[in-house]
Amino acid sequence: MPSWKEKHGKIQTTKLLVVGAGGIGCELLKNLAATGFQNVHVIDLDTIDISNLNRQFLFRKEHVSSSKAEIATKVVKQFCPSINLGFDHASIFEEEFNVEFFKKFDMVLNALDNKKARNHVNRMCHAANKPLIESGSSGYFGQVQVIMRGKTECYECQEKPASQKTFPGCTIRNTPSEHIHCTVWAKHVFNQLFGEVDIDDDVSPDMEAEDTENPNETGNSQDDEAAKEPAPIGTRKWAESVNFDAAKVFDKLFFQDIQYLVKMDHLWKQRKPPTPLSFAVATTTGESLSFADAQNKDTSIWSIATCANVFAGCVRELLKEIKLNPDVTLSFDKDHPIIMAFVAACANVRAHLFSIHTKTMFEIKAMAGNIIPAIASTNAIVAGMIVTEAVKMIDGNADVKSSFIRNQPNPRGKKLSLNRLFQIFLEGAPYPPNPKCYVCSETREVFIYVNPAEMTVGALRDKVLMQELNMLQPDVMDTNTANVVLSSDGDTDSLLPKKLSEISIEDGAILTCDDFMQDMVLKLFIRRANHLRGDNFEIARSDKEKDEEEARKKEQEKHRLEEAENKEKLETDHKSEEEERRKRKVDEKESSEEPDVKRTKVEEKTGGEENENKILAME
Amino acid sequence: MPPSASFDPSYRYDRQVRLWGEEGQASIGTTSACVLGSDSLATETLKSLVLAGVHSFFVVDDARVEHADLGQNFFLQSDDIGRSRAEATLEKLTELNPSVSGRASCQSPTALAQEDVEKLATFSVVVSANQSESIDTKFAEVLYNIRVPFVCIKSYGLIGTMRICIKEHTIANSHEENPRPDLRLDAPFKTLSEIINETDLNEMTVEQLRHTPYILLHFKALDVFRKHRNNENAFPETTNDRKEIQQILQSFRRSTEHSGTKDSENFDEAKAAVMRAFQKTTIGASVQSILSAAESSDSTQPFWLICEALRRFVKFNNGLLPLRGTLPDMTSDSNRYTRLASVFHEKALLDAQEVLRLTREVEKERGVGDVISDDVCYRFCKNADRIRVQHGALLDYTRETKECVRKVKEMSIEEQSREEKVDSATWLLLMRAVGRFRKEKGRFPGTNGVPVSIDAQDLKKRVEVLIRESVQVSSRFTDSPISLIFQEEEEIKPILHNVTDSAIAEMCRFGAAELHVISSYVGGIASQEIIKLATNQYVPIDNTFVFDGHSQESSTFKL
Repeated sequence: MPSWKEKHGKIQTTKLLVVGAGGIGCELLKNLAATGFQNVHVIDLDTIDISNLNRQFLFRKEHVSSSKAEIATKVVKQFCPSINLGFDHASIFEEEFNVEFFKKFDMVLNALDNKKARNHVNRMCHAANKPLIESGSSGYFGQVQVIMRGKTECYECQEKPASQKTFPGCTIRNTPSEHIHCTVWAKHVFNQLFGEVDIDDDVSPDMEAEDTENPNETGNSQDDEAAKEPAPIGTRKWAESVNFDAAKVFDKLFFQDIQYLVKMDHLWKQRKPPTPLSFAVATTTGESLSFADAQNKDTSIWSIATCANVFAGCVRELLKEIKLNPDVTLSFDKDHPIIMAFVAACANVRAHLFSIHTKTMFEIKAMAGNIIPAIASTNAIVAGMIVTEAVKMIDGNADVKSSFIRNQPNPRGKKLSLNRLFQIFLEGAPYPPNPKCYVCSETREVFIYVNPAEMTVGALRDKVLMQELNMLQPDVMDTNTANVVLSSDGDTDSLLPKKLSEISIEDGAILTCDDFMQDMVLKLFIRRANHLRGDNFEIARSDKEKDEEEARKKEQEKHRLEEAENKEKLETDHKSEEEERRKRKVDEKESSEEPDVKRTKVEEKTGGEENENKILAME
Repeated sequence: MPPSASFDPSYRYDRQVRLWGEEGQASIGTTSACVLGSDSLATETLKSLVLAGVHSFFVVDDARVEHADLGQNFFLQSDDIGRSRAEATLEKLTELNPSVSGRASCQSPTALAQEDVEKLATFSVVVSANQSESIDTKFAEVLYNIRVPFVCIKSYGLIGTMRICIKEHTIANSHEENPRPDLRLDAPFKTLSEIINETDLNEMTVEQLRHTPYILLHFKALDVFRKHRNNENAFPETTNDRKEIQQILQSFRRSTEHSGTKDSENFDEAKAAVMRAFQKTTIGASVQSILSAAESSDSTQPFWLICEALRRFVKFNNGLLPLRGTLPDMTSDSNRYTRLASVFHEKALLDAQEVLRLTREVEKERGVGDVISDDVCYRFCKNADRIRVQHGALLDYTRETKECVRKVKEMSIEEQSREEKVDSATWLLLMRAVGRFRKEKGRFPGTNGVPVSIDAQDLKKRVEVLIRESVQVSSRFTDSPISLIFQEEEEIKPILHNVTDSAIAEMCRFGAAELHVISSYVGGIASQEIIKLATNQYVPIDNTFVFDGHSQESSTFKL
């Protein structure tokens, strides 16, 4: 067991790349400097916000709005002048951070807060054949995962749960039934009025929806065209035409549009229709707080009158901000107090109209910003584990670990063993690579279920390859016809509006998708799924049909066994009580001895400090 | 930039308030921490506490900053050399959070231990960072009796340890994951019964039926179940009973003319929820014992006041705890779900009000003012089925060493050699041996230029002595002195064998070095547990934690 002092030479010469200078990043940079690492480079595109200061201890109040990477570097150098620490205030997706760039380092340490960037770094490390230590934290939970090409599973070997639920457009636009639907709508309203307009974010009633119970079964296209005709002009344009008069904007959103919705009576057969509300009435609904007072009461429920006041106040302030910086496009930012107050007020008014309980701004912020709690101590522990693993790897110690911190000690190990009764940490050797992984396996296959007659090439690129599979600049070729379907240099832009079937991509087609930047080629198998409409699709890592066949066989087998068992049971019915008790005991035992079960659970919880909006932000 | 600065400090704490709530933040805001020591371990622990927003902290250390500190303590710089280390670290720590006040004392921790107890009683928690066993023992005794939590942490080479010493710790909100829903299927309250009675599945259209929240389906299935049994109080108790409920639910399903299918989400949910939902509303054994303890307690601590009120509530409420009042998500039209959710919520408020009334009674009886606020009471009642009390143990190195020896002994020889890893109990025993070494020689093994191999011999001898002392006590019933010695030797040998020479050598090789990353890690753990103690939320480690940086393995156990 050589002590760390003996490893010091190796530590000094090892070149490290740290991705992210946020919560874990700050702790990590401090640990690396104090452990004696001399060659470190850090990348982060984010700037410092006041809500970072409870844990990102390298930053002070006077640093708010500055680059995280820059300040972190400056402060670490103050304490440790000898360190050769470089930084980039940039997105890790930038082209300069290509495979060659990654090859310059001996090891990569992730301190990120979102899945997209984690996926990307995972691929870059795979391509560059560099070991990666991945990490994340959420409240008291934390995790560290060691990833080595060919030896361990990669970050994408196991499917991760989606970071945020998506809702059908018609639920958002026509028939919200939960507060989150209103919150999502309110974010869209913000974007429509003040931010970047996204056609998917339309907030006015969806006239196409004949019956929202079956949102996919819209009428034929002729009817759609007819329905679209009376559609209002763009919300932003309209608002400009009335000079962003708060009362008028309010009335449009909560009176006229709602009136329109109420008229679509097929929607209200099983539901209570919403009640239109004018600004004049709203301002007298309940006691009202002033705009300034309301903002400071983010943990109490605002009356509707308060919401209306806040709405008007925010419209005024946001308009000022736009006029002051006409070149800057605002985007939803949960830490921008005016934007957040606007979204909270809008969401609550809408909820009120649809008889949904209103919530506090504090609660709405958590939903709108997909906020995950974050504390200093967990990040300190996680960063400690990262450096411990890094030093082990530098030393050639093959006994690497993937570790999880839980929020409380939990039973683990043999029940009778005195030495291992309750553990707050779960650690174990990393899992081997998943042979079906589309990132790190040899085969690299993905199966996609779509309706080729309805999905467009553009949607294939944007929604499937870029959004779902996290590619950056996909080049796609149909292997059957050798036709180029998508070219990252834009040569094929004319194909984008075409449906897949129009360029003869049908059931059974195999597309080769190549991402030059990530140095990744995967095969996309097209499977027809007629029940899917429009751009909807499902992704699978293996052939569903084959899997289903296998599952059916298994199910049959299980069924046969069960029947046999049942017969037996009938004969011994009087024993069932005892059996049940015994079974329950076994269940308990299993759950306490099965770290894997907990492991997946922890994993779900610790997606890291995910952040939907600042998708490139780093922790 | 937006005027977010005006929102400080609530904005500063936004991300953590989402973990422990405003009430947790308020508790942290009244916490004052005293830390014995100002090395890297002490600083790292304080760093997370200051960031979290404790009220104040007090650093006690008579050391001066030396060159060696710069390598480990991130916060110290070369121009600090020669200054009081407590003062130098204080300066850096207060920069982290302007709302936290800090003080430093250049006296030695030993001097503080000799001061009057009242001064120590003003702290909410005392942390001992890398102090000697005699200082630990002194503080532990005093603090245990005045019920101030004492957290002993050590960072020694690649080994980190923590021992939490607290007489009693109450947990008002354990944040248990996936608690069983509190649906009261066996004991519906009045407003809920009204909704059930109004509901007639047969009169519904298929569409309505498919949007009926599953809790109503459960109640209707229970009605049928009771009819089957001819017993209006029958309740499913066995798996077979619950399967019967599932069959009854199945029989409620109807198909639409339109689709011809019987599939519907709410029925699927109803079926899946049967096993968890059809459980009698009972009070768990641990809560039960807390309630009995509350009756005999005369404590004026908020937790015990409200527990006594809770006990009285249960007594007059047919043995039922206050309703939790939250309804799980279920497929439903919003009207019916909202109505159900609000009767649950309102009943929970009523229950909490009653508990609050009883609390006022208890407060009066025990001669204190209105200690418990509405908010506190309501939150407490919501989590009443998951309250907990931990009973600690006084830090007693003799007893604990004995316990370690027992653990090392129980480790079979194969287990030890197969894993080729040193067990946490062994590390802990070695830490004790180092403590003994330090006490007797006035220095740590592996320091002072003495060849490591000689110190290793010395350290091994101390391990043997510790084992001998621990074993002696257990074999005092042997009669003849000769057989006693013989037996003792037989017992010591295998235990000593489990403490490998390489582990002993490693302990000497550390040379009492403090590695920053180990200190940072242990400091993180310690501050995390201190926050759990301060907020009375989540379940802290009870009571010992050992970390091995060689393998990155850790263990938690009670000594």
